[in-house]
Amino acid sequence: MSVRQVREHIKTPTPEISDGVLVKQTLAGDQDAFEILVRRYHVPLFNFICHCLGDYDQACDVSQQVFLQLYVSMPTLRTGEPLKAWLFQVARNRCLDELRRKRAIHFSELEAVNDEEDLSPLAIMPDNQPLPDEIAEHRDLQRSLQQAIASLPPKFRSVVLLRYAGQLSFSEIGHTLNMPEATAKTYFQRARPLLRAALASQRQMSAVS
Amino acid sequence: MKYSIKSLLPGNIASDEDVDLLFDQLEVIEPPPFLVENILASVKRLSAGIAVPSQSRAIDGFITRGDAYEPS
Repeated sequence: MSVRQVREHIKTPTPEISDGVLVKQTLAGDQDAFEILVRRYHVPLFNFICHCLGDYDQACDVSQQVFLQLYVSMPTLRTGEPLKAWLFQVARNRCLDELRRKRAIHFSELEAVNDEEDLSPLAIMPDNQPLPDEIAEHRDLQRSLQQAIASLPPKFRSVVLLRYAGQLSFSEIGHTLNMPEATAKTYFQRARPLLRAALASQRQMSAVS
Repeated sequence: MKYSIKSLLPGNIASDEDVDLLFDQLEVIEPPPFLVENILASVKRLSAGIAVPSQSRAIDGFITRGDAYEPS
């Protein structure tokens, strides 16, 4: 399924109950309300986390932690704050913690770190199927996109991942990263030529080799 | 327009729209089907176990991958 298909899928839910109402219902003891919140956000959140960490299993654990943190934080959540941005903010912080921890473990164990493996979720997804040309080409494209995103400076990378993998609006990205919406938009616009250059450079290198 | 790996040749990705169209093809990585069930089971366990939730206890109590399907 492409991001566009998921976006369309997410945009056509059953009659929408607002996040705020669902939080209130959960606090009143309605577990179904919490389930709706989980089902509403778990796919884009999981995608964002998976792209950040490059580890499918760890993304499962972190996704679970994020929703548990939501559950325990509900009594103190500020009602005016958009829940989606709050969830992605928590997810991003947890990803950064995990990446720091991972790095520390690697250094302490003097393990060789393969950055490419760390940054490519596709490389670690189970894949026992034979690879016909079309599938191989699709995987090459995905790998190129991943590598282009990974080559961005961190402040641009977060904005780009929230936009493309998390499907957030610039307003939501601004809330998530504690920056004005206009800054999020500017970072994204500055990231585009860098992505373009990274892709071009990849193709030139593969043409040479 | 659907982009292929061949369209990444230098000069083919000319505009911002090209970049957006290309990255719109970034694959959605499907979470495992048990993820939602695990989250809900953890929350159920949490809400049954503690009266005043605290974050550390909450995170300690989460169910790891696939536990919901393991026999008790």
